[in-house]
Amino acid sequence: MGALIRAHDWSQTSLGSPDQWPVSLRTTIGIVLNTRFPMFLYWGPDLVCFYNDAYRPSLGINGKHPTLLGKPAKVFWAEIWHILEPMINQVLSGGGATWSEDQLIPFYRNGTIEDIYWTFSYSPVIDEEGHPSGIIVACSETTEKVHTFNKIKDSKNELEFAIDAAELATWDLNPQTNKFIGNERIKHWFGLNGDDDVELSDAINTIAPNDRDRVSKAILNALQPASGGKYDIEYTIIDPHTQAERVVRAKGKAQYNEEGVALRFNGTLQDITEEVIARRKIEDAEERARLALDAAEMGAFDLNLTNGNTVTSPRFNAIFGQDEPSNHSKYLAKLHPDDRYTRERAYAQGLKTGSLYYTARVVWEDSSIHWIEVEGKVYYDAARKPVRLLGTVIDVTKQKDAEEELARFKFMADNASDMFMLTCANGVFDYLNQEALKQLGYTAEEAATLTLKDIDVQYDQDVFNQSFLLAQKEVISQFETIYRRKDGSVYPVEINMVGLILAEMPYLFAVARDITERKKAREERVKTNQRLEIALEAGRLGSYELELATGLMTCTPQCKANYGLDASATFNFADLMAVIQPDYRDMVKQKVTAAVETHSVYSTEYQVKWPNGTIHWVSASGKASYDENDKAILMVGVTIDITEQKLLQQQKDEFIGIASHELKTPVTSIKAYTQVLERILTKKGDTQEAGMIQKMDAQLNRLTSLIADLLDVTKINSGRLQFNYTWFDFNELITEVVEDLQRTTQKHTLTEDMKPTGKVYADKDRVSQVLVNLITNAIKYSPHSKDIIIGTRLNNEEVVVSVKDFGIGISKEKQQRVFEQFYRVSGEKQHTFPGLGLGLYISSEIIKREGGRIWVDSEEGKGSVFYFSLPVNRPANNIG
Amino acid sequence: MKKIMIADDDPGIVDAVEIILDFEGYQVSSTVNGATLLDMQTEFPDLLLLDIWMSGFDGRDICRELKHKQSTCSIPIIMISASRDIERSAYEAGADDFLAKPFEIEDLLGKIKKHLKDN
Repeated sequence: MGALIRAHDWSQTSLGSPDQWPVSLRTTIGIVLNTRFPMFLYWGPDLVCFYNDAYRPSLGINGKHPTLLGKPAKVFWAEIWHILEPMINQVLSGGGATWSEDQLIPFYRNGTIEDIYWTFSYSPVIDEEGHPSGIIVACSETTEKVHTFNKIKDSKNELEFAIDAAELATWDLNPQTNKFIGNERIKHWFGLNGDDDVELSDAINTIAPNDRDRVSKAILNALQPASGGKYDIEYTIIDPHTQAERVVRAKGKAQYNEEGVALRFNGTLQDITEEVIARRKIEDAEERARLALDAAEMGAFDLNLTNGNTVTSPRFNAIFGQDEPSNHSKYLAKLHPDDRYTRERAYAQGLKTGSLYYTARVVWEDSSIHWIEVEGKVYYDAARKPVRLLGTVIDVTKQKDAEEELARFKFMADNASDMFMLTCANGVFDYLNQEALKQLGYTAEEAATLTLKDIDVQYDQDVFNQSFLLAQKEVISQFETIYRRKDGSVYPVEINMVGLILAEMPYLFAVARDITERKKAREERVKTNQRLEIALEAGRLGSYELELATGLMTCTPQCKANYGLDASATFNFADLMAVIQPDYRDMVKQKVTAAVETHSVYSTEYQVKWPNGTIHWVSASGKASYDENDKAILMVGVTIDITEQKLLQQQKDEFIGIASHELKTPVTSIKAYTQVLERILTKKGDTQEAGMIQKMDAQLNRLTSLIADLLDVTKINSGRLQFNYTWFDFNELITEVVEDLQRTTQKHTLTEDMKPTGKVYADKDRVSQVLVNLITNAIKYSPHSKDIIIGTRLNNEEVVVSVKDFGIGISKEKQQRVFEQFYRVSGEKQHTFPGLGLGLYISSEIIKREGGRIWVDSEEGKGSVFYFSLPVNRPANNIG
Repeated sequence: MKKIMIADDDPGIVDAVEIILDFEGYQVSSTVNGATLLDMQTEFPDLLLLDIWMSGFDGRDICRELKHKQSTCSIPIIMISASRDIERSAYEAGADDFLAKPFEIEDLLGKIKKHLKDN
């Protein structure tokens, strides 16, 4: 600037050239130029402007510098002269120095008019005459400072506004003085006057007595660096004027110096009275609700849908079979697997509609199953998002079980074939099952008004009332009565009743069975019995009824007479056993037992000793009757004295024995003569005659055989077929027989197909008799074919013999019957085939009684194979 | 020559058998009366053919008796009967063999030969 000033042409100014300048001016300029503080100088009547380097920046760029240097102030400060002039004049007129701080004096710089703040002083410079000739201005620009200050002020205002809007009280505690300052609100709350500082202790005294200690401690704690300076506490203030309670939440932070001493502690206070009141209200309400729920045996739950937290009442936990609460997923896990879907569906529905309802089973730890009924309400936030589920749970196991039981009962009742009826004390029907409606002929609607009187023909009010009361106390015995149907027809029923209590009311439960059939049957039975008795008497059959459990027998006089007893004599099973001859006792017991077990007819003959010492034969038969459990209760049957028949039979048998003997005698002698003759003739050389005699012998053999068959048949029929068992080589016997028989025929060829069979224990003669019969038959019935094959084989424990021919065969239907007595080939050729028709019957009986089997495989026109099998060893029980 | 006795109440059989045995070279004696057998003191046969059912007598009883008697116990006895069923009882009575009627001459001769040889 010095250079600029020196270079400037001052001659054009009011000051003239510098050499004309007064000393004061020159001195002042010198001061101005040499100071590092921004300075400005006005001099002369027109206030020529000087300024130094330090001042220059304030003029900006493209502004007043340097063109306006040396110009009068009016020109220099043209835009703000109106502001400056008064000030300058004041100074010049002896007003003394001025001081202005942070004045806004905008002027042109940097291409525009800027808002510039100045802190400056105007000081008059006294010239030699002692008059102020100029003004020296020391100034500095405070624009930034001002802006910053303004910003801070604005922020402060905003903050205060915010605090106010948030209704926060602010406080600022000086830990050294224990005094704090705060906003209006805090003072208001604490009922303190508007002084700047408040004693902490005063404030604390306003706090509710219960909280004071706590707050003091919290403050002290916050002032310790160890606490981190944090302060967050709720307490109650009692307004000293109104005694109103105000709950506040204090939050603050402390600041420490390096030594860890708290320098500053400030924060906010928020009135949470309403919140607290609301919270307490909720808590109370919840508590009351809980109590109420508990009383109603309901469990309550509060499920936070956003975080899944569950709060449950003790009752809820109990319903889930737990002592302690658990969590949402654990509760859900207790649901019965089959009911999980039900719950999920209900839950989804609940979230949509806001109402939750479902029933499900929960399985406790001990595996017991309980039914629960769940009801809940869903709460939504402003965005209609479900946030909370509040609900109740009750244990309805009993009801469910009762429901199920009732359902089961109803199902059973409706499917029963008897009538089920439930009657109230006044005789009105509370329930009639399907069968009842059906039998009586009423519809369900009609039945709604039916009473017992309507259907029971024999109904009597007093009797009914008595029975009703009695039934509640004891078991009533079964009885019969008559029911009337809707159409007026009547039918007999059998009633079983029992009294019971349902929902604390007495009822009569009755089962009525239609016994029409039973009655009919009963009557029939009576009639039948009568007829039977008549028949029995006519046939001299004695009938008996034996109680199997006790051995007691009821016998008709005829029955007792069969045992030689009077009608009046006692005759029970034990007595019967005593009179049966020892040999037969076991057999009788066995046969009775067998018949009972196999549900078949028991029939046997045995000898008994009459009281008079005579032995009689009795034929007894019977059949058991069984109860519902298939246990035999009674044996009912007939007995008849067959002594005469037996005698006759014996006579017959004896006769047969004699007859056969008699028949065989002449046959024997004829045979003997025949054989002698044959020898003589052969010796004599009369071969032809010898041959004829041989044929005679053969015929005699046939005769013998026929006689033997007759004898056998009667033996079989009288059970007198006897066997003589020996061990013999089976195949050897077969071979013998085959050889013998081959001699009887030239037309046929008997071939053997024998596998090893070893030794057999059987009646040799009878076995050979059977084989002879079969082979003879094979020969007889193969008039046009030649071959007959006899085979033997061993099959496990039996020998099997087969006789195969290629003769006329037997049709399928007739195959069943070939082994019957007297059965012969029938049809056209009947008479052409000789024979009595006894052979196969006898063979069959022989084989059967030796414990074997006999059967045939045949095709008409193709031939037959006859088989028989015999056990290698004698069977365990020989049938005889 | 061996002596064979036949006891059977049927004259037809007795006659026929006599002829056969005679033919075969045996000396034959016969009786229709069972009691005669028990009365025998001397002239014992070498073999006895004994019918079981003889009028008034049971051949088995006779057999037992004969077997008991010292003098006759060594005589082989072949029992004959129309019934096969009593074969066992015949043996039980002490018979040495059994034949069922009607019999084959061959069988008879065979048995006679056998028992004579054994003795």
